[in-house]
Amino acid sequence: MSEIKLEAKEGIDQDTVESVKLLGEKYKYGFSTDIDMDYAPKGLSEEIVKLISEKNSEPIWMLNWRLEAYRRWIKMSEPNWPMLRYKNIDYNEQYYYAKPKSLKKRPKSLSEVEPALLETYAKLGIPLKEQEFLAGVVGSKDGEDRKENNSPKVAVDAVFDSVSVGTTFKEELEKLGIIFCSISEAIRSHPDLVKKYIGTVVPRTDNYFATLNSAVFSDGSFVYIPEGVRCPMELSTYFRINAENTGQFERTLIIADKGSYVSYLEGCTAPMRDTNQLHAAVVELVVLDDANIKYSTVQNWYPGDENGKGGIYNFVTKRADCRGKNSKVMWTQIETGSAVTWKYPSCILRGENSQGEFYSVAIANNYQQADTGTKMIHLGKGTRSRIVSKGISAGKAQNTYRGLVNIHPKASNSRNFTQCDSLLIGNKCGAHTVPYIENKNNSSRTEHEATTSKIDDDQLFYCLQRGINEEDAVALIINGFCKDVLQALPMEFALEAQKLVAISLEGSVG
Amino acid sequence: MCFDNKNSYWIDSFIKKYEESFKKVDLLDRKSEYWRFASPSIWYDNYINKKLPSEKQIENFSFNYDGMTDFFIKFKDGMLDISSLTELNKDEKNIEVSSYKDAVTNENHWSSKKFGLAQTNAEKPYKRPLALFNGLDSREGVFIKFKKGMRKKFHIIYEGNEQKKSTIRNLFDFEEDVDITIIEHFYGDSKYNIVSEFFNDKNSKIEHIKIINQDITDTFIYHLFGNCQKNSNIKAINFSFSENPVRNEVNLHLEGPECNATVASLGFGQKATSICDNTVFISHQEESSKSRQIIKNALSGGAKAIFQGKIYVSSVAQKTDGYQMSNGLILTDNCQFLVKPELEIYADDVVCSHGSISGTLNDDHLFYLQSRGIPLLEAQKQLIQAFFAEILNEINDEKVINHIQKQISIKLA
Repeated sequence: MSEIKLEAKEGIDQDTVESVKLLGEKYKYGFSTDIDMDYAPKGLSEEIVKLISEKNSEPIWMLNWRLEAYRRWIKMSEPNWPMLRYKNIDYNEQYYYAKPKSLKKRPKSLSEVEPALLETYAKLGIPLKEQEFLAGVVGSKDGEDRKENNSPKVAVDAVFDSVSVGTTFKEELEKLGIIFCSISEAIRSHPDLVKKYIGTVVPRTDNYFATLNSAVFSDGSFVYIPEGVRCPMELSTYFRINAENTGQFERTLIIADKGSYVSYLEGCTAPMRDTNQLHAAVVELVVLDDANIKYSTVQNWYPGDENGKGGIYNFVTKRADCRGKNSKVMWTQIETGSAVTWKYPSCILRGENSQGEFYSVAIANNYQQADTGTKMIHLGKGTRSRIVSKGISAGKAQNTYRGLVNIHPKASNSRNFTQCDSLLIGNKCGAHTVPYIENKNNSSRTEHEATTSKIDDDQLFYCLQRGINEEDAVALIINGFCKDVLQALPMEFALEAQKLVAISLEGSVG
Repeated sequence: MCFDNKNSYWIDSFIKKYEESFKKVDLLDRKSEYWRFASPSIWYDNYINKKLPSEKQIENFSFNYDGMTDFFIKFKDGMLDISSLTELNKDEKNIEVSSYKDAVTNENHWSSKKFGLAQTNAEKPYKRPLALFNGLDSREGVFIKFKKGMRKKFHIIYEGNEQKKSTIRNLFDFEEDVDITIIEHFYGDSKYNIVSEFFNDKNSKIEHIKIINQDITDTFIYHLFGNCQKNSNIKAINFSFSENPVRNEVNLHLEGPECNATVASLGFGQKATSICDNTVFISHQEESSKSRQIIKNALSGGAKAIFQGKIYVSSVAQKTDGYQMSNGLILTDNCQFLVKPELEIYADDVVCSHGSISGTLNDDHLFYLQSRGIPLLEAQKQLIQAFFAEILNEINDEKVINHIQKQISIKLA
């Protein structure tokens, strides 16, 4: 601590610096569950790709699709342009498939579910009632009890290492024609839909990590919202990496048909381990005419310890294709975890008057590194986009915003507004901004502003002279700094996110 | 590529170094961020193979030098007019002037201790191949040492008539407390590749204005490499009216504390051949320095403007104040405004910001002027002139301001 004391800057309370430092130490999802796992052999080869496909009982077209991706991947090289430094990843030292043995047969009741698995969900704070669903118990009465409690409904798909453990509220959603299931199930039961849309937003050849994912993805979520349906509850996926040396490669595909609406949440955690683990996901959103998707992420993978040991390498490709007129996508992300984050949720605004929004808070502490941002590609007329990105760096972390706004010559009357602010706490961290703005249309307008600073002395002084103590004042200012983004989150996540953001202020703010 | 046995040892070793670096650089590396928006072949291939079509210019773009008592240095078709140095040499107390040839053949020339240093600083993270090429190819230039406390205004005039290359290498050494204005004018039918190294000692105040006139018929690339010491003040202002590709690279290394750096650029392109590329890198190495970058481009007829700017703040450079602003006024279809304003910051007690706006003329502004009885065309002209005003406010010299305004109005006519 004495070393930290020296680093504390004038105007920033010592406790704040320390509690920011404690971010890594207070990672409360860092436990691991001792469960018998069924692993595929270590390493990556065509055999492994075939094995994963076989384990998921996939049709032949899916296997071929994967193999083509694999063959492409072995010819590609890892990107070196991000401002990230990490040890070379040995792709042959990973397990690409791990499944709890007990899930070989679908359990019929709670008593059949392995207790350790249930305990994991309890510890993660997922309510007991949901545990039944998450543990894959067949035939539970969805929803009924919840209606009595009047609590907001959230349908959950839980992915444990390489497999989806279970999906809740499926029946209730089915009544409306909504398909919400794991992608492996969708490939089996809705092959036409999957075949039509998979890889159309993020092609197999898109980038190194997306191609790797295309070859070895083991599970993920699939959502289809039919025409004109407004999804009555939040859909959510909870990702958990548990097994050691296992990469998680999930693929999410959401299709919002004409005039539909869905709000989708995503959360993730992992045990504390000394070795780095790989997570390479792909998320594809297809938005048709007048449809609206709200996609929120609270990313809380294990960030590594305070010396930079361990943590998840998080390489994610997320993209939304606004194909229809007046379609709308909103990405909201709270990035607090992972040793390395490489993630650029993007929007292709193809449909006329389509709209893309991106709200992000990225907090990097200790030795964490985050290179994150968005791409807004305006192709249609009258398209609008808005980017609000807040980066906070503390300890020895590096935080980079990297974004692209591209207005195509035919995208007349388009608008973009970008704001990216960075806050530095301590003089050993870094904050970087790399925006690309390409305007090729004379009736379109782009606006961009970015700032980098420490906590403003005037703001602090103002709070202090109103009798607020230093700790609370810093808390207040940081809360204000992230407010724009936190407000964009759905209620169910806002609290969790606020807590996560306020970890930097733990003990000082409520 | 040693061209002369008389060359001094130090210049030979530099040329050798450049040669090796140049071989290693993959000039046509399309993936390089350094060439993200414009291919190097625009400046390099044309350099050897093709010539851009030249057009007869009718208007007179020349600067009005009447009644001026400033110093003039002249280059014609890439050759230094030695006689233009005579006047300067009279003032030996305050100034030391050599031509490139004289300097590099003198083993003990004062410039031998400085030459290449500012360029070396600028080579991270990009090698700047066209500056290396300049190092290999240049045979002309002026090396000037401005002695302590000197205050003066200089004009350097570059002219071309014969479609020749002008590959020129300058070195300016500013001692303590000098207050110097250098105005560089570029005219005519020549292909320019200029490298200027600036060494700004303590408390020096430098204003560098560059005017690239409309009658330039070929590509133009200028590298300004500056090393700035404590409390030095540098202003580098670029005016580009060329309808051909212009790349203006500025790299300022603020080595001392409390430096103040301003980089401004005004570009007005009206043809599809026009590219105005500003690649600016300002590196804050010490505390309490300020830097500003202001880029304004008006574009019509398919012209393209590029801005790649970066503020780098090292971990010791606390109290840095950095600012970047890039504005693009897109007047017609098919124009492109491509910007990448970067911040790379390793110190926490800093205030760094950037802004970028692109779009067309504001309808409300136009309506306001029209409602006051000003015809649409005239209103547009006024708004374009107002758009550029911020850059013109950076300079004090009335003659330069008048000249720039005349150039703008010729373009607007």
